Amino acid sequence: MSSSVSRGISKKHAVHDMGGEPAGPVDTHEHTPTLTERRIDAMMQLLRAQPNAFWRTDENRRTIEALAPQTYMDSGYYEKWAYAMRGLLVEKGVVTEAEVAKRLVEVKARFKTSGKAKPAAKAAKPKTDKPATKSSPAAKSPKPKPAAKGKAGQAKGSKA
Amino acid sequence: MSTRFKAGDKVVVKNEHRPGHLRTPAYLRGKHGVILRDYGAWPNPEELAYGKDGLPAKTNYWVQFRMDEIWGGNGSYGPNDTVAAEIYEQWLEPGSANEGKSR
Repeated sequence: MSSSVSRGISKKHAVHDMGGEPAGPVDTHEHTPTLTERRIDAMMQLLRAQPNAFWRTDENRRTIEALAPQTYMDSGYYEKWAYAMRGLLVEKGVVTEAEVAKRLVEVKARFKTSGKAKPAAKAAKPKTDKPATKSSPAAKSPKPKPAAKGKAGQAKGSKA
Repeated sequence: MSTRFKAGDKVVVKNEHRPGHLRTPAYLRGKHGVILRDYGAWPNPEELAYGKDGLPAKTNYWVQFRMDEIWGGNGSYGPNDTVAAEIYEQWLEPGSANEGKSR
């Protein structure tokens, strides 16, 4: 009966729940995974390897869905994974926010002195923009910088 | 697990909008469908998402909807244009035959 013009859905749903939203064409081109993407994939595989997986796929999804809407829209597939890993590692008590923040400072400093940032810096960067807030880091992640000159023009894997 | 619905049963998706990890897309909430298949019971993913055990398990169904109802009946879709989705039992209620302006 709900016959509103386009869709009877208000903005009550989360950002990821976008079925029926106006959108442009979907870019279905494949692209070669970047080194960063491969690393993120490898980390995820290890963290979720049985029998001692740190979390389930449903938790992964929940964490990604809880990203700030702008962060969600601006982040590529593996960038979302990086956010999820960070958030869940802290949530599960594997590492603390302070440890992550400290480590990222070290990493950034190393990139600075080494002249050029490796791709890995990209995933790490957005997270240090804001000091760790203690309540659910994933829910309000700092807004990421628009991708550093991705080495493969289309570094943003748009496939879901 | 008790199976509430069987293939062919008419159902309606709960029109609930709340925060959290929900396994039913917003565009199907409040819509009328027909059960196509019973996929059996699985630990509830909406609970697993928060590190719980997901028990008792919930039955997952393959449910068919009419595009015409979902997209507001704007005339773009015919009566045979449908879409199907997996919907867990906690999202489904019995739907009467008359509801959803059948065809």
